Amino acid sequence: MYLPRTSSHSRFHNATRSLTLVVAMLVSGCHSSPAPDQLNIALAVFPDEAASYRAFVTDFESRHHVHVNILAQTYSDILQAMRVQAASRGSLDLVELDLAQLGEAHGYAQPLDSVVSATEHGLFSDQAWDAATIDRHLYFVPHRLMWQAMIYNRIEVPQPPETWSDLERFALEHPGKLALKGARYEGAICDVMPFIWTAGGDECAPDSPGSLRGLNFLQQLAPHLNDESAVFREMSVLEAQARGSVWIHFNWPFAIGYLRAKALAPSVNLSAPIPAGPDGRATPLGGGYLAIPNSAPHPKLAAEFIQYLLTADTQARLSRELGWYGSVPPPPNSEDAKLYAGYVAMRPYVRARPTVDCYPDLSEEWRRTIRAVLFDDTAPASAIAASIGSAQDRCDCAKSSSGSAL
Amino acid sequence: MNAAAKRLRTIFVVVPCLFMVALLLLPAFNGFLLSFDHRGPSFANYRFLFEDSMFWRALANNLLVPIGSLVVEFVLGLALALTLTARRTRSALIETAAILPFAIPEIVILTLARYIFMPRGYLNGALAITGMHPLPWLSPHSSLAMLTVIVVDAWHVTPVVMLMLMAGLQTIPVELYEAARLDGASTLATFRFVTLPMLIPAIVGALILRGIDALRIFSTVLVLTGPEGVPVLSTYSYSLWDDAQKPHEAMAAAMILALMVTIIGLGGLALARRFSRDAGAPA
Repeated sequence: MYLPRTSSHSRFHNATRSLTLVVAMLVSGCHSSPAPDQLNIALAVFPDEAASYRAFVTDFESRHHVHVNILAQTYSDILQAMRVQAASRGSLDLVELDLAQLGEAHGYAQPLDSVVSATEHGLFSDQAWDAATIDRHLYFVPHRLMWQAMIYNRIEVPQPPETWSDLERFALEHPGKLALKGARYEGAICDVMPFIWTAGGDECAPDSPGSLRGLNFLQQLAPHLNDESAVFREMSVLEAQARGSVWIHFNWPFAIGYLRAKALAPSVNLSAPIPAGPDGRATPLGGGYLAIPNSAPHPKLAAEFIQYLLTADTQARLSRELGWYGSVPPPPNSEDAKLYAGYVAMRPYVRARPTVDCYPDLSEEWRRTIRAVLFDDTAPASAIAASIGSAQDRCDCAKSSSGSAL
Repeated sequence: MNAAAKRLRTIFVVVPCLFMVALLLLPAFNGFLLSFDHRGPSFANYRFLFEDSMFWRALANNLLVPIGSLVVEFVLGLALALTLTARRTRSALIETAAILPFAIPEIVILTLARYIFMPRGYLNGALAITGMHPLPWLSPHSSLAMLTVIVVDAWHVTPVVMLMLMAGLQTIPVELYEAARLDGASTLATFRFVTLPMLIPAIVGALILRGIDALRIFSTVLVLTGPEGVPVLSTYSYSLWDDAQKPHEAMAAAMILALMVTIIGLGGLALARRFSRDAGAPA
């Protein structure tokens, strides 16, 4: 094709200009940093929660004359972003991490010992702070602590099971109506560990008599569980509960909010304590902890935001406006008190999973064990031997956890 | 061609090449290195996979599901292509209905399929109305769940196969059919000795293209059954990365999938070349 000289010149210059513009945009994008008056916070919240949180922080924005940018992401994406930010630079000032990630994430976070005072310390239990303290330094701050309770269909199950034997009887009488979150992910650990703990077991001692006793009980339940338990996660099991396919399962407080939004709570579903085992009750501590990444652009402002959160007033607002009952329970006799009764009752039995560097490995080994016991009909001792191996091969749980009330 | 035009051409070749290198080759090479990185160079990530029973299930399913899907979509696609091509008058309604599953966004059609096949879904509702027992269409680890995944995957992409085969059918000269009719050939004989041989290049093309694509199945499995229900290599890799927070092991699984796609893809291309050579060779 013949191109006139003027035309080719013009095209060449246009193409060069376009290319330059693209390169300039890429370069500026790579090196962009947030404006000095902007605080970027990555939270593991649903989009509608992000909107509520956005409204919640306007108070901080007006006091400090800053703009708070809320980025709704998943916990795993936030941890990945933190890893990347630690290796180079980034724009995140504050990140929210799951309790299970703290062991690994502390290498990418700034110590917060000087940020949290004794008064602020008193908002949460020692147990909650212990989980955030690694090598005698505080790296994380509880943001919205939560724990699991039993969600039950009050129409089909007027008397929710209170003990293991009640639960077993229910499973036998109503096959398929009890569900566990058995997908190979952290949710399975959260559903199973209360049974292990209340049998006297521990994730750090998988072949202890208590752990075996807990797994044996779960194996008795396994044939009567809902078929989809092998793939259930928080949302899918909750949808099954909403549809009526499942009458009892264990979930986080957001489940009650979801059911209420669908007008299925308190009319159809309510929360109750997790059935007590031989050693009493237990529920896993979960929820988000806040951390300031190593290379956060505005660490001072981020610390001020943490201090803003750790006041009694703000905590009360968090519970009132967002329904996060980490440090403040719902007002007595309110509708929330009725809806969240199971969570309030489980407060004294909250227990943290170990915050150790090798927790992902330990968790993965337990996930395999749980699935082998529940869905492959493997004897607990054999499943532990196959999935977790011998003591010397295991994750070192030197920083072990112990149960205590929040 | 003058110098400016040459420069322009060079730019338009170099820029896409740079993008290919930056966005495809370098990440792929980095992924390859990551798959052998386990606190230093090691085969530990691959050993982790080989010791995991779910990996072997995912590997087996990654062959069974695409093969099943390919068979269903080929049979349906050929039947639809023949039906639509044979019609004397074109019907926009029928053609639109045939293409619709591919025109609808994947996530929409998969969500719809989930509502149809879930335990208290539309299909079991319909069965209940007719007095039949509900079936566990998506029950984890079951053959029925695998069949459901195959049918839904095939349902979504059958129009692609149909369109490719229709294009092939349009190229068959009408004179061949007239000659067959004058020779007194039956419909079946015409199909066997005229249509099918002439359609083979289109069939091979469709099978290779869809076969390679089917090996990368991901969203159908993820939406319908989750990563554990009918695991395939892509969902297994995703689960390792997202749920288990094991990016290196996930990369090792992805590498095995890439190797599988490459080997089968190259085999398919060799087969296609052989067919085209045979077709072009003198009788």
